[in-house]
Amino acid sequence: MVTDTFAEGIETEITVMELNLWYGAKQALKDISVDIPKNSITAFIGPSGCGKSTFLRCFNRMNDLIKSCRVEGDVLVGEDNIYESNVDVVELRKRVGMVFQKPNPFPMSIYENIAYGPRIHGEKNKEKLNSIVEETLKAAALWDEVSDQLDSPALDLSGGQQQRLCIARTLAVKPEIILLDEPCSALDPISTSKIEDLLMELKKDYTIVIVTHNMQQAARVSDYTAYFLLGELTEFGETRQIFEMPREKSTEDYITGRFG
Amino acid sequence: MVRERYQRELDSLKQNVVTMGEASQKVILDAVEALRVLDIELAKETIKMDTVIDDYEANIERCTTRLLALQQPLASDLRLITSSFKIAIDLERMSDLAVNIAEITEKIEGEHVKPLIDIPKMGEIAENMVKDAIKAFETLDVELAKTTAAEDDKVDELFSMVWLELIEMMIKDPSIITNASHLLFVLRYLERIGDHASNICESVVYMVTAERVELN
Amino acid sequence: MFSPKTSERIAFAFLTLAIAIVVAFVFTIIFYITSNGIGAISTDFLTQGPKNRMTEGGIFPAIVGTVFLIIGSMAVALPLGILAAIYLNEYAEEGRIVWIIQMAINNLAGTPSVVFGLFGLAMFVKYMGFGASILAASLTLALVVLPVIIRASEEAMATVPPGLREASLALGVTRWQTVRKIVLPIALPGMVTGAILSVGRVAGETAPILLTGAAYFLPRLPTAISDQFMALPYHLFVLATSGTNIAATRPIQYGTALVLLLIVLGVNFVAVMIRRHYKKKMRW
Repeated sequence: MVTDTFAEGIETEITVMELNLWYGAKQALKDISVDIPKNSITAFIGPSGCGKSTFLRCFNRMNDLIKSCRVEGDVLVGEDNIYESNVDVVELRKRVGMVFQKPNPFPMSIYENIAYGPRIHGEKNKEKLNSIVEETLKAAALWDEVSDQLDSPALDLSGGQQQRLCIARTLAVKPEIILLDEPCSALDPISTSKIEDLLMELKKDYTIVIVTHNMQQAARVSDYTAYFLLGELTEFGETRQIFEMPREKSTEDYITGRFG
Repeated sequence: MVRERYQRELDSLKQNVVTMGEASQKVILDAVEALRVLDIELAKETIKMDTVIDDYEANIERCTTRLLALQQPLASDLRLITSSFKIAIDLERMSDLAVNIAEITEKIEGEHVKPLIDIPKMGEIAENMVKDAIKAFETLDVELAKTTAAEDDKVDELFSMVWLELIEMMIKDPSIITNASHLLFVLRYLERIGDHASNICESVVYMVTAERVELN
Repeated sequence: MFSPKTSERIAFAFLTLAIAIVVAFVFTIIFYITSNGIGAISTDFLTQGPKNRMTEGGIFPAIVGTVFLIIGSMAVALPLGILAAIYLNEYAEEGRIVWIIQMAINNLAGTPSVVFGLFGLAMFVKYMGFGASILAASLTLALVVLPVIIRASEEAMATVPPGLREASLALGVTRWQTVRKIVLPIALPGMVTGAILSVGRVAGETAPILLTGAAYFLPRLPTAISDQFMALPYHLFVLATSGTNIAATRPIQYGTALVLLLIVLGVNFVAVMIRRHYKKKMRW
């Protein structure tokens, strides 16, 4: 694997050391080591089945939900090794939020969708909840569009608005890291641009990792890009380097569309 | 192989640049030859080539714009496209300069002020530079691009030398000023052609390595 | 053979016919029972016990008995069935044991109700010593409807998109909180449907209660869960087959059937209201 060390002054948010992952007998991730920098957007690209989504799900241990999945190696979020046995997965997922491919708002009002997380985590003060809803909707660039219809069903929103609502819902539990698994693959170009603008805005306060099949999206929004192939991290580096002069032949073949 | 049409378009873009390079090379060769032997017919033919070269450039610009708009090229493809666009501009500027030389042929009254030896030599070097730069482009040969760009020093050297020589001749014999100053312009044009040739070499180096170098 | 257009028409004609037959039967039954039974309905009929060897009087003890059975069996089967369904659908990992459990539930659903009656007789009445009683009958009926409730609840939970569970878990919400706040509210209308089907079954089953506690005739109401009881379906059976004067009790038979029908329809109505309420709360 080829990897760049970051320029000086860039902090690491997630450190992965020799991570291996199996689904039953099949190895899905092979010996991955990488540092994800803080307050930046890192894009994971690669052909379907290359393990990029699986790798993303290692950061909030969503892979735990799959019984046959076995992980070896270390993932450090900040200072904490999240694969140690005493780690509280529920706490981890508050720190590492996730937005999914298909917008999946709960079948409740817009307000209730945002308040859901904080409320379950013990916030009962109505005014506090109101301000969380307003703040996160503003942060997700949705407030202007929905401020007068907070009590209407979230599922009445357009796909793009639903996805921004899901981002707002994630922000409401105050994570440090936001993982996005192909968040725009079901959206039209305008909604996609809005989400991309939003991510550029959010990286000031959060570390963002995004899996995308859209090469142009990775090129547009990300600061760093990781290319995966057959469960291996083939190349990791600054996005402009990956897209202008990839060092690996297979990366070049993939991003220029000559894969396969 | 996927994206076959895309690959064909890239190949044809590359071929267009090579063809344009060969045409530009011939324009330079003919312009200098017409000047050397004061062949007005050849000069006129050369001047007519200007529109042909312009068409080549317009075609390459269309190809690059279309590829950028429709294919979202990245990595080496992107570098090929941006480099081709730049090289086409350099080739077009070169051909303009060669046409200017051909136009001077028509303006020379009577004989040359002196037998032309160094100026054809400069022309030959410049023409070879274009040939090699295009070859480097075609074969992705960084070494060839670098050695070719280094040739520009020879052009510059001859430029300074002949320039001084002509100035001295004009001081001695002011009656030759008209014809001699025409030759001064020719010198300047050939020197510029050399510069454009080394620009092409720089584009080739970028295209292959993604490094932006200054070769002169 | 036929053009696509013609075969489309033929298929549609058959489908319409099938529906027409079903609707016709349902309305005929309702109309028949209502028109024959409505005359028997009166305040006395609903509030008095049978008199004069069941040829006169009301069916109050049977109504009370059936209501007790519904309450008793639901009190057992609903929590048990829903918890089992939650376990199977939300917690259990796919595997051999779950497969065996599923097979067992399927077989339970296909078991004839008289077999449940025999089991109830052996298990609750004799072995556990509850005697012929409301308790033994309720437990037996609970077993009869348990597979229905589990199946319906599981199916209702399976319609909740997996993405919603993931979304909730990804917010640092525990599995149980996710079940309570997301899965159950969304699945509830479906689960209520399952429960209603089973209420209909509890109200109508005769064989299991016959063996576990239903009485031919009781002059008074049951006062404890260990008492025997009368129930509408069995009462109807008795009136129609082994009464002292079958012809004389005919209006009472139809009245009883009508009351049974109304109880089931009433419960259905309540179910519709509950579904509507939750649909409003969980806005799709």
